[in-house]
Amino acid sequence: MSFRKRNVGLTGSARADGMPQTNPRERVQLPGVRPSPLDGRPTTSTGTASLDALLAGHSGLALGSSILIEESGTTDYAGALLRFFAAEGLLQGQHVHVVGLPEHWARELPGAVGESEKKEKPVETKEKMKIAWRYESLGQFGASTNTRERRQSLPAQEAPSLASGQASPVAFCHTFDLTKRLVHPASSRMDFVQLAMNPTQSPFTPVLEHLGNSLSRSAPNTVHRIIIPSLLSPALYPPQSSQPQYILQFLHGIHSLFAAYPDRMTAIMSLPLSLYPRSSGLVRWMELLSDAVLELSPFPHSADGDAQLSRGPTATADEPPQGLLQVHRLPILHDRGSGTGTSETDWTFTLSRRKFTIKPFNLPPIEGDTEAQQASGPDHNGKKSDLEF
Amino acid sequence: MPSSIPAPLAAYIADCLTPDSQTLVTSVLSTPAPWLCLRLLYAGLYGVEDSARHTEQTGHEVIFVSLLRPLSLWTEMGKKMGLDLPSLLKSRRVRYIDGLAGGTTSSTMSTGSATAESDPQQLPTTRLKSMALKDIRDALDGVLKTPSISTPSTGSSATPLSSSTSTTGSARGGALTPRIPTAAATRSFSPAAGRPTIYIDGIDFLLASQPAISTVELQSFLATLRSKCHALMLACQADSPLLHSSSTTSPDAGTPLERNHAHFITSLAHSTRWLFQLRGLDTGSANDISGVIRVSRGGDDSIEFGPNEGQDKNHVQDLVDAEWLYQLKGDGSVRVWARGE
Repeated sequence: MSFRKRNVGLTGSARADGMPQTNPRERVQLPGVRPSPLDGRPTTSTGTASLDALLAGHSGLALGSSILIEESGTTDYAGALLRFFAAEGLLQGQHVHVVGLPEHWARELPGAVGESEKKEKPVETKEKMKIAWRYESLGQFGASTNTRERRQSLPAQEAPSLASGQASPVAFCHTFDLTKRLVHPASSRMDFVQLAMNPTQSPFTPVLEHLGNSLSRSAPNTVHRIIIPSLLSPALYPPQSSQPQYILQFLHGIHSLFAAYPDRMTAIMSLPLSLYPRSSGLVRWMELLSDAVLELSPFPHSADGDAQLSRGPTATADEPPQGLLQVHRLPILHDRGSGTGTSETDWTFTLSRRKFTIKPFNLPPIEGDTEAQQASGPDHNGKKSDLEF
Repeated sequence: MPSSIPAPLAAYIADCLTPDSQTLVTSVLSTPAPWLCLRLLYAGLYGVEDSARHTEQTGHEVIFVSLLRPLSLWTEMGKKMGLDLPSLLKSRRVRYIDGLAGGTTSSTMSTGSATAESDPQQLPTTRLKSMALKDIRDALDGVLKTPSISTPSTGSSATPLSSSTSTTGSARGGALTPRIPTAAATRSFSPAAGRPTIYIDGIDFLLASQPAISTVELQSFLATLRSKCHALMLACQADSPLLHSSSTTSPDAGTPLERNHAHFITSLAHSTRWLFQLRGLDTGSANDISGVIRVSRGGDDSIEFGPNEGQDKNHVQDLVDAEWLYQLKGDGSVRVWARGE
């Protein structure tokens, strides 16, 4: 190894994957799409940063793949992920299709935490630093005008860099606030596809027709997102839809669309596990027809725990996990072998006002051990305050 | 340069290519089988060993039916292991029946099972009219009947095409990996090699998605197919939810889907020569292990008592059931090793 020339890059594995490399310019033009850092295949954001990070090192969902999120119990954590996914698609200018839901779902999408808001804080703090402390109260007014000018100049500076085609890392995945409502961009395209309720035919026929038509009609640089919330739930779906010939052929039809329009669409769906357990053959086929399979199992006590802890000031620092997230399959990694696998299959998730966080699963200390922990807590704090005098 | 076929598997894969044999590859959710399928395909085309004489000697045409996975996946993975599917498709050594092309509603699909050769950019694949068993049978019969590269009628038109692909194939092969056997070797392939090898990925999906198809019907379809081809290779799912009804004693256990699947896979396993099972690690997952591969003898041992019994029998007896770990890497290579190695 020591005889190897140091400046020669190891590009073997990346080159072998010729397809994404052949026309990178074309790929960049797709809205909200960036190449995977691992092998250059185009990926798009799921709207949840920690979910993007989970997807086998590609830092996003590869175009042409689908995610199935299974959730047990009556909670709707998967719904939050689907909302983030939809909102992200709308903000990226992608064409969003929602299956089986009424249109008012669009009004309940979470709003993005604005880019300007994020930028303002550092600017303000910098301005504060410059002002002498004794003038700080006097200078409030002047400083605020100053920052306002800065704020206006910031987007102007950023605009050319965005226009030059460099996908900025900030714009790839937005941060959403569940308490806000999304302001739909003027050019947003969002379709709500209704299922056929006629018991003699497949409820999914109009969905596939709609998707096929809109894909064939749309411009070649349009990226489509398909969102299928609580698949097969009796609240939305007619009873015959869970028959294998309908649901499995529908998923196969989605795969046909993926094959016909490669790198143009992504899909996400959620499945209520309490109604359709993973031990059934039908669910297993549905999993096999998805590229990523994640299972959410909310902890039963989490609702009480949140209520108590969120009142405390320290709640934001370390929120307790609200459930277990298990990864059963990842796109690209498992079938094509490209990606970085981790030995972790168990994760925990926390849904807070702003984000859905996925962390590795660590067992909490044993119940009886809390006294010892509390005892050590003040001790630790005391030492710290002793040091900082 | 290591062969693209992992050394421990080579003897087994070679044995799968004996005439009239049937091979079954089963996989589970976390360990999909495309890498193994492509290696079986590669072996069918070029033989297991990585030498030039084999590319001329063996070499059956391959009919590749993919019902669940797109051609782009096979192309991408094939390219990494030295299997240039686009040029093989153009030279008609591999003929591809695309199960994912039927679902789209655009007007170009109405041609049904006609090969789309008019567009030079498009690879010559056969589109299925629908996923119905009849259409698949028709498409396969059509492909089996259509003259392959050896007949003069298509030969005249195919010659310029294949010569151009041979140059591009070698150029591309040189750029990628030097061990891609170029299409020049394809031309020396003798027409007497006869029947093609048929590879079907995801045949069990038919049973699951169309309750109207009975297990017996599908089995008879496969038996007919087996009589028409050199070797039949099938890839199916063997997840425990799909098979658990076979382990319970009560006949009413499970949904019809599960019962049919268990019945189908079990009877397939009984009629196959070799069974390749892929599954995840029992103890969880690991960074450097993709899964476990187990090769075991199926129920079909009739070939052992064939005409050239003596050496064949010895040869077959050398191969015992075995289990390895495998790791699928980002560059498309696969490492297969025994536990503790």
